[in-house]
Amino acid sequence: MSVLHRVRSKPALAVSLVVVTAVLGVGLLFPVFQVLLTALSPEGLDAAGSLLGSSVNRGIVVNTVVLGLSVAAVGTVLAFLFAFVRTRLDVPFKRVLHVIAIVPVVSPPFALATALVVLFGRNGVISQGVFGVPYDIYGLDGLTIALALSFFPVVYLTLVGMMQRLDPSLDEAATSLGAGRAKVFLTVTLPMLLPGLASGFLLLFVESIADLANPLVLGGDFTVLSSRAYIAITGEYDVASGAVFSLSLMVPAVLVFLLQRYWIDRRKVFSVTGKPSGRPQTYRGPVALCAYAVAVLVALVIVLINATILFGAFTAVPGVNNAFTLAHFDFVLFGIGSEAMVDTTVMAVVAAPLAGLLGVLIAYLVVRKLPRVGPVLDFVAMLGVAVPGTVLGIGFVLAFRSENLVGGVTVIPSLVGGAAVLGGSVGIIVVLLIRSMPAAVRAGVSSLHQIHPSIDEASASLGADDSTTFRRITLPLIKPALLAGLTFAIARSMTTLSPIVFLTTPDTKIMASQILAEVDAGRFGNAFAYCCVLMTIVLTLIGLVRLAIRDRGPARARAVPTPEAPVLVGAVKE
Amino acid sequence: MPDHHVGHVVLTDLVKRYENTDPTARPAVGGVSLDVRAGEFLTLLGPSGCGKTTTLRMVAGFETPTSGTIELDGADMLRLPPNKRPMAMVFQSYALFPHLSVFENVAYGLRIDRTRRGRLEESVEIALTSMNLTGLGERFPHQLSGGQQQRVALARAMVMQPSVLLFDEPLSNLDAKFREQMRREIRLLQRRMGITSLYVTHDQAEAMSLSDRIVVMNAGKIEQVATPTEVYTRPASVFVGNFIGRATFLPVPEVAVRDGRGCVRVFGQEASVATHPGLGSGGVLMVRPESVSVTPTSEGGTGIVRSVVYLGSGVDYEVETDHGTVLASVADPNVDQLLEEGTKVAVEFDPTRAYLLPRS
Ligand SMILES: Nc1ncnc2c1ncn2[C@@H]1O[C@H](COP(=O)(O)OP(=O)(O)O)[C@@H](O)[C@H]1O
Ligand SMILES: [Mg+2]
Repeated sequence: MSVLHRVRSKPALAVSLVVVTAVLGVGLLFPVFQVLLTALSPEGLDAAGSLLGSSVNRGIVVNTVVLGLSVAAVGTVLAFLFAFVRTRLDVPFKRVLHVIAIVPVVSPPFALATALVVLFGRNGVISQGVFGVPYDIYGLDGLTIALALSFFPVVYLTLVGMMQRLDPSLDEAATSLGAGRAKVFLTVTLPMLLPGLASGFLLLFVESIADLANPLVLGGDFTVLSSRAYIAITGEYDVASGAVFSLSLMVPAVLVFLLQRYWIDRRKVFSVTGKPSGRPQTYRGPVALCAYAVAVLVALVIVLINATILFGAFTAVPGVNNAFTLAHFDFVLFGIGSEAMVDTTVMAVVAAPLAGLLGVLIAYLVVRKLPRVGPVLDFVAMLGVAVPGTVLGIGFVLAFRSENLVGGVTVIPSLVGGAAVLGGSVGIIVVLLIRSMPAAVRAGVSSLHQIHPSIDEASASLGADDSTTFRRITLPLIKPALLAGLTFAIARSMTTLSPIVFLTTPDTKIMASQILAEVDAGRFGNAFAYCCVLMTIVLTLIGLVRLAIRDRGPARARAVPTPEAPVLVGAVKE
Repeated sequence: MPDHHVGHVVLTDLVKRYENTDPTARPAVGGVSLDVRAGEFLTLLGPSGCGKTTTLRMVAGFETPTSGTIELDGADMLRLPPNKRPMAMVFQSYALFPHLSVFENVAYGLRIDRTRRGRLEESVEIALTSMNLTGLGERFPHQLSGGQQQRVALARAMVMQPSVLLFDEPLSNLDAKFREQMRREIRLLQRRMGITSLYVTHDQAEAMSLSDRIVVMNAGKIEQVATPTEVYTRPASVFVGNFIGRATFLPVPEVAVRDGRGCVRVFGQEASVATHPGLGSGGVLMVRPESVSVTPTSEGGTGIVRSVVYLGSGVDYEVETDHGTVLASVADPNVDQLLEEGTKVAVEFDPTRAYLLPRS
């Protein structure tokens, strides 16, 4: 049956297809297209020439690649270490380590970076205060630590999932054939984890080169493409250069996305068996002990960083004047800072449910309704995270600063800048939607794949039409996925910086960019208070969502398992 | 009350080629025509991959035929989406809604049909009682045994009082003992309600015990449509004879056919046996193992026992003869008189149970 035929006979399907296409077209494809157009304009080509020609700019490109590689290497090792400890060691406090390892997921992107500055910066509490060395964390080393710590949890969760699903009988088979523990690990376990490690490495590479927040806070003289694009747009008002710089980030990002999608994901299917039997054997000895020691050390650093954020929020000048004060919270909660808090929360509360529902709807269309067009839809939706935040932000500026007219009629009003509708909040909400939807799509797709299609057919066979089946059967069954999608949509909407920083107007402030401004001005206390409030709001909202759509009754026991790791992979913050 | 005026299904020249498959390969279903009488229990039987499920799913509306028509009581079904067809399907995986209680599972279809909402509770209770599920209404599917889940799936379909019930291997997930019990229950219930049933299975015992008529399929085509006794005693082809029960096929190069009976000479035995109408000059003689007898003999034996398999209720002998290896099965054998391998035997068969088929 052709798509047209299907669509014509099912109005509900047609409407959802139109909505989804419109959102992705207007919110993602059109702005990215505008960036491409600008980069290919004469000024854009000039800028591209200088990117290749000037040694300063070549340095920036090298910096970016070096940063990406070092974060990817450190982050993959960390992730593997924690996953190894969790799944293969029999040691105390594993649960605690697990929780600590995923804390960075909900913290705002620069909370970590800012805390590192306070601890190890030029006047660092630890570097200067404890050791008395004038260590300077700004630059490659600081960025690597901050980014690796921020992004490794996602890879960690993926690897834990893989390692738990590896069939222990394979280890046992190798052992019974005479291989020792180390041999088993090197010849059986590691090769099967390779796709996971490779995709983790690539993910970290892309995430770290696309990141904007950390280079702005911790970069110092170490300029990378994303921060260069930001300066071009906001400092030099040179949109063409901004477009070129940010696009050069998009090339590796999209390449990795394609590689991931068409190569690694396929291989994973073969290397991991579905139903493990028995329990994996645990490792002992000096190597295991070392792994554990390093994991504990890293966990302590994460705790230290979060403690710094918390205490810093209550001290006058963190690290310098440690007198207790509530002034920072007063500023954030009741002072001028409260505007950003309210705006951010309201926009997240609007964007997250839309992202969750739309994401699940796309997943449903992809998996169940449109076998041919589905993959294209899925691909475009997932581009929402593959496209670097700076590209999307600049694209929005280019596409929606003035209203879009077709034949003299306003089709899309101005969404960005001083004249934007509702103070630019509509534009920001659309960006949040585009950025958080992929997580919901992934969650929805993987949980729909676990629901046997005959469940849908049984419903149809009993007289239900498609929309009834979706409402009464599909939606309740993928509730856990929806929940996961919503959770990450909230976390992401509240903490996103890079596309939004281009879109804020005096009327619409968001916390992430306010934190950046406070850090820039050296008011770390305010920044930390913001971070605390932000995390509290995120956790509260997530809690509320869980309460609201929690399963009632014993049906929960059979609920489709939440695909934690895949969701996270689609949900890393920029 | 059984109403034998609804549920007459007519399939004409149904063909299904899956879109993503090689267009030169044989279609999944290659021209199936069937007339399912109202109230009849008809089983599609055949080896895995022969197109049974595909045929059933086309009737249900989950697959669109490449060509052909499906009519129910004279109405064209192809114009209707699955949810508008007055049929209900029972799935191999049961497909119970895991988030709904047993009661809500059974009530699901009634809630959708506005005209039935009035007596919903009563209908559901009756359905649950008739499937021996009284008192389980509040449970959730995962709190039931496999057999109970199967009953809920049945109750959920029956309660809709459809014109046609469709079953796709509904018993294949149950263990052997339970399967036989469910077979009886399904048969009783279907008789009582008189709902036309189209049943898919690859298990010939299931087909034999349940059906009014059996449709034997092979490679997307129908080999034979007949009652269980006919299919067993008068198979339309060697394939059918082989698939249903056990049989030995002995090549008979020359047959003299007279008055519809064939004269053959096997194991030195002259016999006149029933004959397939399409028989030419040569054919194959089908003998069922239970109609072959073997007697130990010291001289003039026609076979040698090559293997002995003792099964408790019977014993199977593989006997090597001039015509090939013949299977003989003796019911309720005396364990002291079991034959040993290598024993010379005289082989005989009962001509009234044998059947002559064309070579295929
Ligand atoms: N969705 C599908 N796409 C392509 N081929 C299919 C599909 N479903 C079934 N087939 C093929 O059609 C043939 C018949 O399948 P099916 O009707 O399921 O057989 P049965 O139920 O008798 O085992 C098989 O060769 C099978 O591989
Ligand atoms: Mg089948």
